[in-house]
Amino acid sequence: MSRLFKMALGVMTAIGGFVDIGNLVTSGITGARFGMALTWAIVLGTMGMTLYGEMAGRVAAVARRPVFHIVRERLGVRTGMANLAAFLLLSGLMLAAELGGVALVLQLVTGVNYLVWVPVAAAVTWLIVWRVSFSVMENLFGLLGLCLVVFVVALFVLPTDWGALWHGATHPWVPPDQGHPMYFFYAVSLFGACLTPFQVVFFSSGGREEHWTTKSLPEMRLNALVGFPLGGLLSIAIMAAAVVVLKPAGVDVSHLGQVALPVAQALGPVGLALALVGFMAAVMAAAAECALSMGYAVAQYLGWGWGKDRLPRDAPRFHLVCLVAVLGATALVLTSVDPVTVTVLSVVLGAAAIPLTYFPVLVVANDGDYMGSHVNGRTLNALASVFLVIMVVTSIVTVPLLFFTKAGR
Amino acid sequence: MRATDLLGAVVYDSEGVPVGAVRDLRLTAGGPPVPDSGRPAYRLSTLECGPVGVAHRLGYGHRPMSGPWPLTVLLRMLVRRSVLVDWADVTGVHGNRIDISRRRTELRGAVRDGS
Amino acid sequence: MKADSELSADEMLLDRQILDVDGAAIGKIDDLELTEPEDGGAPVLTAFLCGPTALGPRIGGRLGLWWAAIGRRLRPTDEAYPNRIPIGEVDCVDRAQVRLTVSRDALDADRFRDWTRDHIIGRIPGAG
Repeated sequence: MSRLFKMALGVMTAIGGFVDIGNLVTSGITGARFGMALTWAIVLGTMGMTLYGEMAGRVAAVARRPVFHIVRERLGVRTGMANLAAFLLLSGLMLAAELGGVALVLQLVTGVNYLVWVPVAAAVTWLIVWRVSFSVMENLFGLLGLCLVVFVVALFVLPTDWGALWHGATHPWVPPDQGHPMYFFYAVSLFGACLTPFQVVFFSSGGREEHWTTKSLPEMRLNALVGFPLGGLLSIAIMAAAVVVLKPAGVDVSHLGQVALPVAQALGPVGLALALVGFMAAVMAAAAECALSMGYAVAQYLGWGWGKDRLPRDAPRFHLVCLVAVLGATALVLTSVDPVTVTVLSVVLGAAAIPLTYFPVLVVANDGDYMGSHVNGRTLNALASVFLVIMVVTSIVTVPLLFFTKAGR
Repeated sequence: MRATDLLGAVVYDSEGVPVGAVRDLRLTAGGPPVPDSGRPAYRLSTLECGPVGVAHRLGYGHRPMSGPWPLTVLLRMLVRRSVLVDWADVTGVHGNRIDISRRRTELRGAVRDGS
Repeated sequence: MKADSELSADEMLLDRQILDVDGAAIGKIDDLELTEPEDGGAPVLTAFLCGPTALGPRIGGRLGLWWAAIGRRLRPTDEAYPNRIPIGEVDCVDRAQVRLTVSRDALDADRFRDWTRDHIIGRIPGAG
């Protein structure tokens, strides 16, 4: 019974963990603007994350190496460092987005301007990184994040035309009032929101924190192969809710509160409260995970000790990096740059850097010396290669699209 | 001497023709033990030189890599162009340049088939 | 040192994580020290080099110089030679790990870590 509970907990944590401010914002914006036409981007992104997440988890469990160990071992010092620098910059931007997101939720709840809440959000995030145990963090936030299921409930309460939703999803044509560049820009944003590099670094390092071994593979696979897809489904539900309520009203999502509007409409204040709890949990967890990933990345690249399972004084440089990361991101948010814009920018730029993080994982997952009998099979390699090509193509078109559409305006 | 002094240095053969940049050092056990331990010492026996470092780094030269398919073929082709230089043939190391006493055509290829 | 009879520096040694006898992370093998014996034979692997002063030259350029300078600053004598871990203190090198026979306290590899702990992290409440 305890084993079953643990497995269920793992899956639920993975679902809650999949969704962060990037998914919330992009699902809301695209649902309101494009209907269900961009569902395919979420599906593709979720598939990619599931595929590469499982690979990274397998490498962490069998070869006992987390992502940035591999990056330095296989790409070498110079290329590895470039990789690390890109990762830190983009994850820093993403951390700023998550902190802004937490502050926005607090603004929604209290009515007080979000800028006041930013230092609070930063302090709480850092405290979680500093002293909260790994399993408490994962489990507590993972479970609270499941409150987002209220979006699915809302879809059933609202006068949802399921046929129309399905039709929209299976006919992904560009709406006449939105140009092709805008369409693809938001496709990239959805894709990037599912494949954020910090998520795979965290999943892989978390596996080392939990001392995964070959025996942990079934459990890890359950988390990745069930948890992540369900998380993707949740993102689609949030998009669908926006399609049902926001699109007919012509609402152009520019604020986090608008994403929760459908739930407020369907389920009243109780629904709204649950949605906000879900937002808070998912985004807060993501902020802590992002800060930790930056610490993990630097420590793993340079060979320092790292880990939440030990006292901070036993991994001082790791904690220093996390602290500096939180401070830097906070400073960025406090310049009062629009948090929603930062979110969209971070997922889109993150999409450009995706191949850097995921390619080394693919290479090591094929290494017979490290993986033994757990190397990638042919089908998996074929699928992973296809996705790598998609990731590289995305990476190439991202920056031009960014300029062309002026970041989605 | 450090490994970094040798890695990346360009090797020139006895006629001044560049052979390639040093990509890897091979160390062989044997010979008199190092003074502070009783175990045999590792001595620098060979330099592996080639045009491109990335293929070697990623492991496609000598590890059992099972894919992904286009990469294995591409990168193994690149690694095949590596040659081995015995340390015994090295006549001098000057900054970024290593001179050897053999001609380029006399050097043997580096491929160790790991598959 | 227990290892295969033939080692590739790139594959088995460089950039590998070093663990001390208790399994604690010491650092990476940032460089190798090869000593040419007096009788003129092949250079012998005598130590692993670890730390900012060893990694700096491998990064190269301005950034490398700056990184190496950080390492030097942390030393009492501003000496430029990197931390060395003599081969005699290496237990084994295999595909899974690089393990030492000694504990981290016996090495001098913790200056950066200790500085960070004493000056920053240790001063924050809750550091343990």
